[in-house]
Order: sequence, then structure tokens, then C-alpha cells
Amino acid sequence: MNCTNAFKIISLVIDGEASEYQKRLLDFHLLGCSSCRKAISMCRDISEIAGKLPAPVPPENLESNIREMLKTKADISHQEHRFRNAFLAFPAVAALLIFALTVLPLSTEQEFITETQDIAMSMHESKSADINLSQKSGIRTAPLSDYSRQASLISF
Amino acid sequence: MIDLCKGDEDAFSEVIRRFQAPIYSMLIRMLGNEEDAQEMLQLTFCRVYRYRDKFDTDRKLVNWIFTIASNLAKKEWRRRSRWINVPLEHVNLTSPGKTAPHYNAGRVELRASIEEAVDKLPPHYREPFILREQEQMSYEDIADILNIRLGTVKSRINRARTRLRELLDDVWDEWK
Repeated sequence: MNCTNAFKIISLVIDGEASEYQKRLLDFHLLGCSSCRKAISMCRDISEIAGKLPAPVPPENLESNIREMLKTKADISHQEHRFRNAFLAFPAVAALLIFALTVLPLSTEQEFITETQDIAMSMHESKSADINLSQKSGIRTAPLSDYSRQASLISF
Repeated sequence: MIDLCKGDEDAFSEVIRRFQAPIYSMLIRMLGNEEDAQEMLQLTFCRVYRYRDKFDTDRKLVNWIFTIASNLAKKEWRRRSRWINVPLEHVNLTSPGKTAPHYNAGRVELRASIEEAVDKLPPHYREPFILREQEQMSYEDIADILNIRLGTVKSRINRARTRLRELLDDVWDEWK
């Protein structure tokens, strides 16, 4: 048996819940383990002192306070008040979440679209200087690559 | 309890008298301050009174009341999401008018250290440990109160002791 298992039995021995077999196993382990001997001694002291810790004295007017609470139903309103707080807190959190999830991404997306549109327009304007003139029909057209780039940016 | 279920006011007074001290002691250790503990103590007995019809007579009355108090304390932890250590004002570190011998002085110091160390335990270890050590409850009763399995009670008490042993190692060596 290792010390971890021994300590489990030590806890049971202190609480008086260990079986005879467990006690024998522990005795055998304690013969050769000084750290577990220290542990059982320490746990006994802790248990003894913790059991005698001074108990705080309840308030003297407890019963009258309880009867007053029952009479005025303050205990129910106490719960309702907490429920109301939770009830009010939920929509507030939900509203914040909706705002965070919808408005903020939309605004950034809108900014992005306007930015891309500006870029597309500036590119178009810069290239409009070298507009091609169709040799057959005489119609002035921009190069095909400009159209395709513009379309892809807008669709994006 | 049967009288209480019938609406006997004297029976309710008797329940309050009998259980106020152990419940208050547990609550003050759980919640860490007198104000919250007193509030929860009052609410515990209010619930005992309001839900007296729902008491399962197969259960022990003490377990039922402790369960109510424990659940209220847990709700309070969740609501406030804070843990405050128990003030040591309940510990009489010095006995007025007496000069304690060295051994007793060391013991008082050890007691204060133990109390402080118990307050440092995580709530789920502290609660079964307090019920066991202070209220001297059986493992079965603790399992019933906290609505956990018997094996869980054993392991939590064991872990509480292991943690306390680690925390108090130096103090205990000095004291010895």
C-alpha cells in the first residue's frame, strides 16, 4: 500500500469508519512510514481542535425576526426581488449581445464596402485615361479587365 | 415535526431553538460574515415553516433543515460570486485575566491557524469537513444533506484533510 492509499484509510480511521481489515493494513504501513505516522498524528490534532472551534452565538431576536418575516412575507419578497433582478438583468444582457453581434459587425462591414467602392472608383478613374476606342464600331470602351475587377469587388 | 406540520407554533419555536446554533455556525463558516449568515438563517427557518407540508417524514428533520441552509448558502455564493474569509473575531485568542501556559498559548495559536486554514478550503471541501468535524455528522447524513454520493463525501473529507495538512505543516511542527 502506498502513502496516498494509506492517507485515505487514515481519514476513515479518524472518523471511525474504517474496517478492521483497513486498520490492520494501515498499522502495517505505519510500521515503516514515518511521514504517514506524522500525518495521522497531525490529522488527529486537527480533528480534535476543529471539533472544538468556538461556535458563534446566533442573534437573540432571531425568532421574533423570523415571525416578522413570515408575517410581512418579506422572505417571499426577498426571493421575488432577486428574481426580478435576474429578470431585468437578462434582457439587458441580451440587448447588449444583440448590439454587439449585429450593429458592430454591420458598421465595420459598411465601412469596408464604402472603402472598397472608393478604391474601385479611384482605379476606374485612373484607368479611364487610357480608354480604348473600338476600331470597328468606334465605341469608347474601358478594358475588360477593369469591368471584371470592379464586379468582383462589388460582389465581395 | 408532525406538530409543526399541523401548524403548531410552539413546535416551530422548538425547532428554531434546537437548530439555530448549529445552522448558524455552518452558515457563518460558509458565507464568511455575520450579516449574510443571519439573513440566510432567518430565510432557512422561514422556508422550514412555509414548506413544512413538503417535509418527507422518511428523512431526518436535522438533515432537511441543513439541506435548506446549504442550498441557500450555495445560492448566495453564486449570486455574489465572492468568498470572504471568516473574521477571527469569534476566536478568543487571549483569555482575559489569565496568563496561559506556553503549551496552551501554542494551542490557541494552532487553533487560530486551523480556523484560518479551514476558511481557505474550497467550498465543496469545506462544507462536508465542517459537517463532519463540527457537527459530528455521519457520512450518510452528510451525503443526504449535500445530495452527493457516499464515496464523494469520503473523498472530499479526505482531500480537505490533505489540504489542511499541507497548509498547517509548518505551524504544527512548531507547535509540537
